[in-house]
Amino acid sequence: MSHAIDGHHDGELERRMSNETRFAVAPDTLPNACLAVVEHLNARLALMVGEDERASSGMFRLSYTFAVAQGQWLTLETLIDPAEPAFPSVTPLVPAAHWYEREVQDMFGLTAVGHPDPRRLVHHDDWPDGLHPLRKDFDPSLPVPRVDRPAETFHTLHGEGFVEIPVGPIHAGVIEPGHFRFAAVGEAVFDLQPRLFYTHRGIEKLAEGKTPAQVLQLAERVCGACSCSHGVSYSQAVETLAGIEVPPRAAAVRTLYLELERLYNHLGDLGNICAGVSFAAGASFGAQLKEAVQRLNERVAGNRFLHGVNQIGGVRRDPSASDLHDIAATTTHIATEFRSFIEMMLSSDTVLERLKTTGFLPAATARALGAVGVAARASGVDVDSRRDHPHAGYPALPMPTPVVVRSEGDVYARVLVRSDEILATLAMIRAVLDTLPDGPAAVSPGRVPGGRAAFAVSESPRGENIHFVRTAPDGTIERYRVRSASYPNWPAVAACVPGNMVPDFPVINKSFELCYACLDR
Amino acid sequence: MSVPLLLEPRTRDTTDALAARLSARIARLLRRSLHIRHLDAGSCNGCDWEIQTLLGPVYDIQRLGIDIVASPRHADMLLVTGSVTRNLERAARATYEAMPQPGLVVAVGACACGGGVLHGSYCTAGGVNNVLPVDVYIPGCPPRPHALLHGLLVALDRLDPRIAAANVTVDVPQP
Amino acid sequence: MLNIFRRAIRTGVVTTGYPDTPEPAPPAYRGQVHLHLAACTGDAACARVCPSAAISVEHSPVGGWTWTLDDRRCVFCGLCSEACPTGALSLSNEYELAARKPEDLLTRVTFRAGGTAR
Ligand code: SF4
Ligand code: SF4
Repeated sequence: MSHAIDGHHDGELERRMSNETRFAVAPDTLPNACLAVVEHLNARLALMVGEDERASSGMFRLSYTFAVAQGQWLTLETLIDPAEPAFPSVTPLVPAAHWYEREVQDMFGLTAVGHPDPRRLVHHDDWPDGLHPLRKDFDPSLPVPRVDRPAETFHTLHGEGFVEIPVGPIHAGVIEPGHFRFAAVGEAVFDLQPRLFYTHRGIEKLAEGKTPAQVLQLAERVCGACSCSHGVSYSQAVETLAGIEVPPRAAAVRTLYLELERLYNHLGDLGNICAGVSFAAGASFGAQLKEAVQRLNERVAGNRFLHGVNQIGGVRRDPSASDLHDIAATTTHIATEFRSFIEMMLSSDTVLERLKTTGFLPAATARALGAVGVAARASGVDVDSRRDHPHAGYPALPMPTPVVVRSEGDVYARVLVRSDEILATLAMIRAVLDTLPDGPAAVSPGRVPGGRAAFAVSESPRGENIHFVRTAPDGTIERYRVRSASYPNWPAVAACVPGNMVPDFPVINKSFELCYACLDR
Repeated sequence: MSVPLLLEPRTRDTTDALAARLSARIARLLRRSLHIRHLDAGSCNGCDWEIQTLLGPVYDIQRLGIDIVASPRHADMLLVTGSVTRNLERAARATYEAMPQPGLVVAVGACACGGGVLHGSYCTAGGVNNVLPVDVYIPGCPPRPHALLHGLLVALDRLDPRIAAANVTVDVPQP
Repeated sequence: MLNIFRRAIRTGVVTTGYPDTPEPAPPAYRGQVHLHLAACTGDAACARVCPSAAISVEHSPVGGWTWTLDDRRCVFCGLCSEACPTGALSLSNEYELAARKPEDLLTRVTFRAGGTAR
């Protein structure tokens, strides 16, 4: 491993997690070091965290974390002098870094020198220059004025026959806000530029200074639809830095909830895709199945979105024998209903016509952007953090995690990946129920140690969710970074829409089923 | 809380009593038929999904004469989720302005009702009522679909709202 | 096409009767927070843990305290009931909480010092 970045690193750093290797590099060697990791280790950029350590080390810290071999992470860290708040951009060599670096520019005021597209990302045009919310000296209680700055958000295309179609942020359906600028020639989309971060709520800043238990409530509300996965990622990060081992039953129950979350999401997504192609019967059956799982969630966990199932050290909602019985009976019923639903959906020619070859995402693009989850797997990229970075109770299951990979890369492939994953999920739920260990469902976390950092991952219905946590000396949260599955996948949507018709955009968008809320935070 | 609002919060140009009468009158007029525009002002998606669920076969709000429409220009009510983020405030106001008056505003979920877990953030307004005049609050995180139905029918005066919650005094011994 | 009809007929009506037929939330559901007056000691553990600052406990200089819950902010997480040392809080099954005025969503309990009985 060290061979690959020979000559670039300034030395290996002390480990903070058993499955992570860390190297310090000088800022000017950072881009080449990152490229070497990607090329020689076939690694994927999974996370980049900026931190303001001016109070302790007098510097800003940037950490680029790559998923390398099975279950292993490699992090390159560099310190940046506040006197010269800039660093050489990694993006020209490793395109997957593009949004991370734009975000660090906005949130920390560190300039990514040489970034091919240095526009703002999180802040919109009326945010004042020189104000960076994740710097420690930013006072969140002071009002941030709205300023009149020249709009810089969109490139414009000129030429005969070009029509620019602005859509959003408020849409016609019940969906989240985002703005899309289509440049179309006739019906064909030539270019798509999204402007997102409308629902930016400042969750990472809000977490600072709160207790780990309070931040768990925030973590669960980063995204309503992947609430359990965010809760698991966050809890695992805190458990890792505190050296807490959760009891086997807690790990298994987490798996159970994670799979229930996948189940209701995938069922709902298939229904929504039916709605996107105006197949009303399918939309209705999909909604009905999703509702059945959400009602099950409410009966077992007290909340239809599985809010509040996790706690640091285990699970808060340990299902009773009758809950387990309920889960078994409901999922058996859903299995039968689902088979007839998917058969109905996929035997309708009008549906298939709209799905096949629509929204093609090439494998090379998916890889270059570091895409994860269903979107990546449907484009031939074999990633699934349930297998690659074992967490919760997945390693203890009697079966290996079935990873569904297809090569077509279109909406149809994403539908098939979801439908096969539903079958796999139902099998895994069965397996957890059959092998659920007895014993406590949580251990007391005690006092969470201060001054430590860790990150952890879990596989949500949309892909890998990574949460990074650093604690302050008093055990409260000093830095919290959420990198949801939607973060690397959004640019993939923008990349795969051009070449399609404008009316196909909704169904392409639904086939990725990305979340604005967990992207924007 | 710390977002400087573009303008003063929108209020109805009336006294409280008048506003209450007006709102009751709107409700009476709309009683049997209500067109809603959903406005996501920065929710986590949870509240949105529950509103979407109302349109599905299980809750089917159309049976109650309620439907969700594509444009605020066709709407009698804005169903607002999220605490109004800085980046959405302009759009939220524009949506409100586009709705024909008189119209109702309903805040859905803890974020919209009072900021929820996001209170104190540098980029949210801490609740819809800091930006738009709210007629009905539906608490929950998210409110379950039944609670949404209840809230919508309260807004239409077809069910009773919760009124003046407990104001209790208990005597305890001197320490 | 025929298949779709057959399936629809087999499925039958799935629509709920709410609000004409009441549908209570399942027992596990976490609804409105209830305070058991006899058990509250004014400890304020609930106010300290609440992630959304929905609860406040204010002690008066002449003894006694006021416990206030704002349902507009509560996210029904249950941290308060877990934190209360005397078990004075529980999450009920109530979910029909819609109100027209913010004041209607405030629960205020004043514990007045000087009494003898609770
Ligand atoms: S109230 Fe809860 S569910 Fe609704 S948007 Fe806010 S955090 Fe999400
Ligand atoms: S349930 Fe949660 S949000 Fe509600 S009062 Fe208790 S601690 Fe606060």
